Amino acid sequence: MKYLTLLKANIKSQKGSFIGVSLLMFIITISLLAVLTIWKNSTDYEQEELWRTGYGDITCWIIGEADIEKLRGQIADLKDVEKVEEQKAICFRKYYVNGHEGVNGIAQIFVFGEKRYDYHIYNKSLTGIEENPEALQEGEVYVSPAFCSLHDAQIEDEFSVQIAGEQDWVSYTIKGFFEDPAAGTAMMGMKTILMNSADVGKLSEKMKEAGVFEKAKGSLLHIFRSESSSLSMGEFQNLLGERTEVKDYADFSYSKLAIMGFMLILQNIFAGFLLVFVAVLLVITMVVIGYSISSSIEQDYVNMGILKAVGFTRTDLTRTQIMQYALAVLTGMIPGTFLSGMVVRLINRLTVTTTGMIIPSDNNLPMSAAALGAILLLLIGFISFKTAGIGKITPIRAIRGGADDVYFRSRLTTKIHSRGLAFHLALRQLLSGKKQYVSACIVAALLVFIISLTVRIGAWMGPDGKGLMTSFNAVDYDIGFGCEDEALTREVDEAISQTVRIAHKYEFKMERATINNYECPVNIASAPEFFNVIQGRTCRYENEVIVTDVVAGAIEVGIGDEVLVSYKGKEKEFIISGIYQCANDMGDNFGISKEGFERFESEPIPFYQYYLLEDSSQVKEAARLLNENYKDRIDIDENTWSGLNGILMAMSALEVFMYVITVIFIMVAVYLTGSKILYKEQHDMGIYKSLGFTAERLREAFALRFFIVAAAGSVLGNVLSGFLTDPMASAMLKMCGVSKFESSLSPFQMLFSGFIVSGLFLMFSYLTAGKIKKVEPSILIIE
Amino acid sequence: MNEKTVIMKASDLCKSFANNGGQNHVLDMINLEIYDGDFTVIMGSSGAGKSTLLYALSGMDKPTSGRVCYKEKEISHLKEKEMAALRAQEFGFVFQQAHLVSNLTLFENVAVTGYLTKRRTEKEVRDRAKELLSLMHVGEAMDRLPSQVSGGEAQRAAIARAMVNEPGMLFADEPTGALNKRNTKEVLDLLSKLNEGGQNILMVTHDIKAAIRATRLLYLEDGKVVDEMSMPAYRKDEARSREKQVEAWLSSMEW
Repeated sequence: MKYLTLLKANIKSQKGSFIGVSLLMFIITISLLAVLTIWKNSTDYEQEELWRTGYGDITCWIIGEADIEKLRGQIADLKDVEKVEEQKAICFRKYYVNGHEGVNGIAQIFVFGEKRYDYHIYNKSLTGIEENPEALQEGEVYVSPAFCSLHDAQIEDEFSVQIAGEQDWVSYTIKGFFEDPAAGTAMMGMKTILMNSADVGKLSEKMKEAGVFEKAKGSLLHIFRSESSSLSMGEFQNLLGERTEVKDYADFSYSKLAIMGFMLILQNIFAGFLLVFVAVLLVITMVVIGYSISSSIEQDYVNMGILKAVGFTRTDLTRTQIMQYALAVLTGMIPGTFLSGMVVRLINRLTVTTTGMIIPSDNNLPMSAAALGAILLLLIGFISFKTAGIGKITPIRAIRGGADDVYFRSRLTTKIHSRGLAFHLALRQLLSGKKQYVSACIVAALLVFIISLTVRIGAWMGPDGKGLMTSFNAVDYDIGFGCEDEALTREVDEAISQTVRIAHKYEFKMERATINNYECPVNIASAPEFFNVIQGRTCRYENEVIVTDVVAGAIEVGIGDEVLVSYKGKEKEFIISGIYQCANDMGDNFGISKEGFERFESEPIPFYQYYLLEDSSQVKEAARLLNENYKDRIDIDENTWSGLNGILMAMSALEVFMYVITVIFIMVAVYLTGSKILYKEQHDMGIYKSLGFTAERLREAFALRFFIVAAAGSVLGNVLSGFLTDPMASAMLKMCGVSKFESSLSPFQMLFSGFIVSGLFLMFSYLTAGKIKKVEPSILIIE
Repeated sequence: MNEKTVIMKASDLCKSFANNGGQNHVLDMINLEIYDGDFTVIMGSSGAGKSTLLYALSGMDKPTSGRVCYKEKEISHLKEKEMAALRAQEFGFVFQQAHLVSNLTLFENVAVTGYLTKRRTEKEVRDRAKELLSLMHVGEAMDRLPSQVSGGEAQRAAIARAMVNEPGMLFADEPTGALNKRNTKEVLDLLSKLNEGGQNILMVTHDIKAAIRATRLLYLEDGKVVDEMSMPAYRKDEARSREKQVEAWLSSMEW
């Protein structure tokens, strides 16, 4: 009961602190639980759905003529393999939506309705799964919701593929959208289309008649590792490479983890990013709570002394403080927990056309409880530490008027001048009450740090995503095209040369090969100097290769090591001359020069023609030329990526979100800190007013203090972000294969975040200082 | 005897405070004139409303009703900005406690107040601040902070601060209430000296030794001015007789 009485009184007298701390914890809880729920649910759900829709531990895509039975037999004979299942498909290199070419990547057509491959069909509003989906009628297809974001597709739009000649098209109507756990995201170029079996049969017949079926028929081999196998997934993949002909048959093969990596790339990057943000917010909250506790103890010094005099112990008072703040934390956490579910639902709903999945919104209770419990424990520990000062309060000291004056111990001196009096007074208040402003300075520094980190990543990506594309590309280029017809290639090349000024021109091709039995894409360039080498040097000579950090780690090699590269059954030795960056296939790839590739003496393959323009702004002109004149005859590579828009939009949304949260945090932090300072200084304010200072002038001086503190914090935050952004962003982006992140900001960008944060501090402290109006000189009256 | 000029006038001045659901009328329809050149002292029993009257007259506190005029201009209902300007330019105030801004030196406390009016340049303000502090015998301590000087030094600095803008009226609320005997005498001597130089002073005190410095004494009881007494300008050699005179007057008031 004694605690309850004190608790009630404390909360009543410190309503502002209570509400402020609750609000901060509310935001932290919502953000944290939303991020964790999306991350955990999407990972679990993706894994479950891949399993449910028949994907093996490793899936190989084999397109074109191949002795599938022979390969299946080789794989099934391995003791580490439990089973191999084949899923038939028809694959197209290109597809069209409402007459417009789809994104670069394979369109694979599956039969809808096969029990083994049971896909979820979404309702029309894309908010849930149809329990009894309608069967596909003739001429109807289901596609991924990513078609909405990629192609602005809607139900009843047209999906078409070209069989052979220019007039030989087959068109279908989009009946609805389905959940494709392997390629549904807008981040991937490959897309799955579901068709009824009769239509698949008809399409096959038509392609056979045109003589193109054999090249387009596809098989997905789902390979399941036996439960008794002791091999890791990497070892299992290597075993398949060594003991079967999978590398010669498969166009590409991915482990379940790799598919998950592609599907969840957006969620994973942003979850990592937001977790850092939440951690920073938590530190800010602790700083604010810490200051609030210290100043409350100072403020209630006399009361606490009196309570001690009447028999309350230090433990009683400390417990009351802990309970008070723990209650504020819980008051924020509880509604935050409930509302996080709504936020997750909203995010899922807004992102379904990008992620391609409706991720379950249910809160993962054990995970949420563990996360919130850990935060609560951390905060209780911190509050206990901060309330240790209560032990120093003695009744006699309290009765004599409270704590010692906080001023004057080691004072820096600045002169006070008539001109800019408000500024000089603000500076003096700051210097004489340094401790009080440390928390505000830390809050500003952390907020500027996190905003600056976002801005740096945004700047690295560039407004059109060029920076991001550079990380994903093996080589530098502005535009390119691929064509099997040599005469047409020459014609297009000539047309480009006549339209734009070309700085460099070279050939490029991505194939699949193995390096030390590790199967992955190999990037071949006739001008290896355009590889994005980050360490060592490029593969200048024919016996050299370059690898990514990911591959170097996977096969445990470094610069100078010898490796065995295998392509189409032929093996050659190479030396690693450097490490390069290419986030394609999550960084799972290596590079080689065209001369080096020619050592394999394989059948000639058509290369893409890549161009670096003298003036990058001419890319649009070149793209227009190719699209207008050669669209249906060549593959145009505009150096863009299906998921780029999604990432750029998410990045912009993240920046907005951070600014909104920053506004709220500054508002609360300034209110809590400012109110305490004002309370402490109301006597001085009374004196100033009695001398003839106006409330307006005092408000200005008060707000200026926070502005100066925030400006100092902003400098600190920018310095911090300068040092920490690159390693932190590199660590976060490593999961999608970007091993080197180098950011830079223009002086304007650097000043901008500091200016915004300092400006917000100025505005909110000015508003908080509105209380000065209520301070009357009469508080100095002693009757 | 020459007609005195009224510098401040209170008409039907009331100040009430809410008290247990009722009203406590601390000032009750006070009508009062303060004359130019006077050292006016308000006395009265404890709770009579002395300080409340001082604060209402000086604009530090708003009256519940009634009017206060300073130099024929009503000041009781001025806007905050106008009131602040009046305080800076026309009024000086000395409180019972020194009430110096704790993180400013004695010199800065005085100078900052001087900077508020644009009457003087920064240099002139600084020179005047130094001069006043020397005059108040705290010149040597002027670079110290209020916490580093004695109560008397702080109070003398407070008087210097109140005088820096050459106020038309100096208000003092028990300025020696928190001082020891020696410091009390020093502060009172300073006030007398200022009044000799023509400074209008309105002071509240319950100390007879302070009251004898007055040229006019007002006695307040239950929120009303019930009596007053005039005296010639203070002379040190008449201190004892003035004390007796004031004591007799106060006795007649049943003080």
